[in-house]
Amino acid sequence: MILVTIGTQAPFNRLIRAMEDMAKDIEEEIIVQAFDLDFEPKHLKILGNVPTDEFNSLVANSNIIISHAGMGNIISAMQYLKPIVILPRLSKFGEHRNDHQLATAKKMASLNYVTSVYSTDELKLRVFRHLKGDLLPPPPFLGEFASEALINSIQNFMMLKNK
Amino acid sequence: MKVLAIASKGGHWVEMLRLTRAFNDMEIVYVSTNKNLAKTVIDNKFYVIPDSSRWNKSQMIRSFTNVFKIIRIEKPDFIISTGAAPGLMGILAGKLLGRTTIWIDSIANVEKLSMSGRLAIPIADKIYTQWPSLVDSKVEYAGNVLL
Repeated sequence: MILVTIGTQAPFNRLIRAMEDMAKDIEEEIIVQAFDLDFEPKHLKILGNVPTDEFNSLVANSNIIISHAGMGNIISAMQYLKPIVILPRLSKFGEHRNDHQLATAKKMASLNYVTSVYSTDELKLRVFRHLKGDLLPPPPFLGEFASEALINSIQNFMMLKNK
Repeated sequence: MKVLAIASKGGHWVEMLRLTRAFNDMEIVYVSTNKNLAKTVIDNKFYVIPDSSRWNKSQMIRSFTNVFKIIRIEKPDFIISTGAAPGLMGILAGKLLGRTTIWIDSIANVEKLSMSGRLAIPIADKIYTQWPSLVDSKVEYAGNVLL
């Protein structure tokens, strides 16, 4: 199953339309977490906003994830070792207030946590390449908690203030 | 010790949950913007407040007054937030009520601090970025929520 997810803050119809275009040529089931669609997809299974536990089981059951550049989704993909393709939201299309998702996508790709694409054409090419055997790389494994150094620093600061 | 952890739904919330190991042995009270998230912290007290952004000032005031009341009731020693605007309201309310406040800018902000993070600089007692390149005299880096 291919999981497509746009987060909870705003619609992302450019991504959903691209998936609808691709779905005609993809046998695998495509499940889409999205809301406020501006068209009616014929080839996609659309879920609205999904509760956390249900979302986690969708991630666990997916083969690949296609997402906006939301850290929640990127972290989920890493925790379940699922390859994730990121299409950042762009302000010029009214998909976000600014282009910080573009910077997030580039940074996360440079660390090999995700595969980032910057247009729907590039998205289509990369996904079809994956389905033909040029597999998307899985992310590195992520434990349950933040880096030890950050946890320790916060704890030290709190201890200092509590004296 | 008691900590009030406040984060918007979505990635901000996910980042916050990855930090909770820092609050071992403390009482944690959670605040977020979606009531369904209570299920992810079932052993803790959870409050929901209205979501807001800087584009909706009246909603932001509602976030502020809600979290202000919660802090007056709960009297936490620390307020910690990973964003976004409602988290900033928590930091502001906490500061006004004499609490120690910590802002952790989301890892999504790789090129500059978020708008809320920049506004938190003169208010919060401690500001973290998750990217070494964004460190300055008032903004600290000690690692990130991932690895």
